[in-house]
Amino acid sequence: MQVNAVAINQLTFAWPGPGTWRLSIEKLQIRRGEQVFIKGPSGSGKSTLLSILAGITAVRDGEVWVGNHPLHRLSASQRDHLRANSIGFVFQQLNLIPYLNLLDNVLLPVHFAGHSLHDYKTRAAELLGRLDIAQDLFHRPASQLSVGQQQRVAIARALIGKPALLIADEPTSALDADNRDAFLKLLLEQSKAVQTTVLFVSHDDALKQHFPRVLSMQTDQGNVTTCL
Amino acid sequence: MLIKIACRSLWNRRITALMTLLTLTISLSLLFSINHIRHQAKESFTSSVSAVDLIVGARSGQLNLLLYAVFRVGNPTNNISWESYQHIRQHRQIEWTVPISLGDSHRGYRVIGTSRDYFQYLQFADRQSLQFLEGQPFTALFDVVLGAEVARKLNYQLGDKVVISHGAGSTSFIHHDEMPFTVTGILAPTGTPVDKSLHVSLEAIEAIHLGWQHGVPIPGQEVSPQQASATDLTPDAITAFFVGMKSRVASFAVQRQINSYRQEPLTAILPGVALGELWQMIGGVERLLLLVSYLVLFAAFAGLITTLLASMKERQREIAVLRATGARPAHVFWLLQAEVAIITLTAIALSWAAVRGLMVFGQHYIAQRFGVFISQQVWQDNSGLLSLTIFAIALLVGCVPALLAYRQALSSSLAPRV
Repeated sequence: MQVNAVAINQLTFAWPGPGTWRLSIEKLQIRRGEQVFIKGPSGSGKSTLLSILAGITAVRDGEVWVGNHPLHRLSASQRDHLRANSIGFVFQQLNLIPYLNLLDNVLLPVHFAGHSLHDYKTRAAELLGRLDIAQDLFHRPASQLSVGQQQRVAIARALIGKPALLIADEPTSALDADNRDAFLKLLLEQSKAVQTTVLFVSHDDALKQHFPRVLSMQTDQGNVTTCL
Repeated sequence: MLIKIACRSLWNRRITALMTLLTLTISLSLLFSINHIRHQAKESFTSSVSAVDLIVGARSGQLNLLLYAVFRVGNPTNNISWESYQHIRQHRQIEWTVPISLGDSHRGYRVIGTSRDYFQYLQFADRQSLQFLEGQPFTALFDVVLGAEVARKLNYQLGDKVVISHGAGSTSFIHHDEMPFTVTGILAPTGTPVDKSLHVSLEAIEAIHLGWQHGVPIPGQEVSPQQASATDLTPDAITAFFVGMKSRVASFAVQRQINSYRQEPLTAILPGVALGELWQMIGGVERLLLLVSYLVLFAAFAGLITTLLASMKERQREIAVLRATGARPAHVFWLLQAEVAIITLTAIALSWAAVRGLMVFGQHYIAQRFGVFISQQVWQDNSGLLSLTIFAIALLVGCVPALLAYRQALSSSLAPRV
């Protein structure tokens, strides 16, 4: 029974070092295909949460499931494998390797997931087309694109492997208002098309209207952050 | 894909990458050419005598005998009497002998009194016989055959007259000018001391010293060439002689017999053994050269690592992106190593091509200028191993930036920081 895209149980996490800050999430469930907005001021632990969900930071206390994969039980390389196969990312900016061309950038996760690049080339071109990237740009180095174009290419890369989960970390903060709305629209549409669950993290409250579900990171007196 | 990323990444940093490649190529070329020339020097050195099984001279150390008989350096301590020579050459194990008589010179080049067998039996390098560039062996009493370098440096042609001086120095004051020699032959270059020698018959050596005693001409006893020709010119003594055996195996036995020869204290040496011993002594210089080239290589590798380390800052975001798209830390490690490998392999290939080109174009010049033949065949048996070793070292030092990248990959947060 895998109704949940993400499930967290009794998670407690603290970075090594002297700080008292802790991330503590008792229970969090995100259903498959859901589009969730996570808001919170900078420094509120959003990046930590994403890093855990991405499998880059290891979990020691509690359970974190992505789909039916128990992240808390997987080895580092299993988590890397899971990330390549089931999780897509869009960052704030600098999403692309500047010296690789668009297609190669989009195909990176396919390569690291160990699939044949050939099978995915058509899909990459299709995705880029739907994201309004002109075909003559496909073989240009990423560094020659505008920020808006780069962010759209990042969506294509995040969705190329039809991942179960897409994590977007402040992807619109480098965009102007027009670009931002168009970008958000494309991101949500395209994710829906492949039934990918979206976790959209931002400190920009204005964006939450586009999402059916909103979570917020809250820090209490004891410097413990939770996600409600 | 990893290789492709590495190539693109290098292309992205093409100016620094090219400079690194250039440094590495120059230092590898230096290493390879020193290695090659070293190899060739040893080859040319040990190829100075070939086909000679024994060298026999008056009792002395084997290096001394080798030096004056083969390299024409230094002076013989004593002579071998003609009788002893005649006696030993009759030995039934001996196939041929070539006598030499030293002590005279021409403008700094040694004059060798010998027999015509010299041109027939003496060989150099890989059993190559002496070849005449022009003319033929001496036939008349006052004929002389020049080594290649003598002819070239002193600009002698066939038919030119040559006056021989007494003693081995270049500034001898006593000349045998009453008996000039005629050039009848010029030898092809061999890259051995033969090139620096003038060859006359033993009889000629005897003739020019007629009327001399204790190394000086006696006044009033001057002898004309005509008188000399009429005299019996069988020498009293020779300096040394080369021996060719019927069977090589007998060399040791005959050597022992000669060394314990009753009538006269003699020394017989095996040229190969003596050459090896001499090479041991003068091999220090080449080892120093090699050391220098290794140091240059070390500097080049240091440069390569510095370049990669300097790029680590801008790589942080690349590493974060690669990690986010599913790259394992090992991928990041191998990405860096791939860059090291690409630069190193290119540098190795370029260096071999450069050294080969240098030798193809430089061979003629070096042979002309220094009388040394450097083979164009730069790819030796050990070249593959040498290249492989360098590649392995490159990957080893490449671990420094690669491990740094690996660690960065392990600890990188998800979002690339600007």
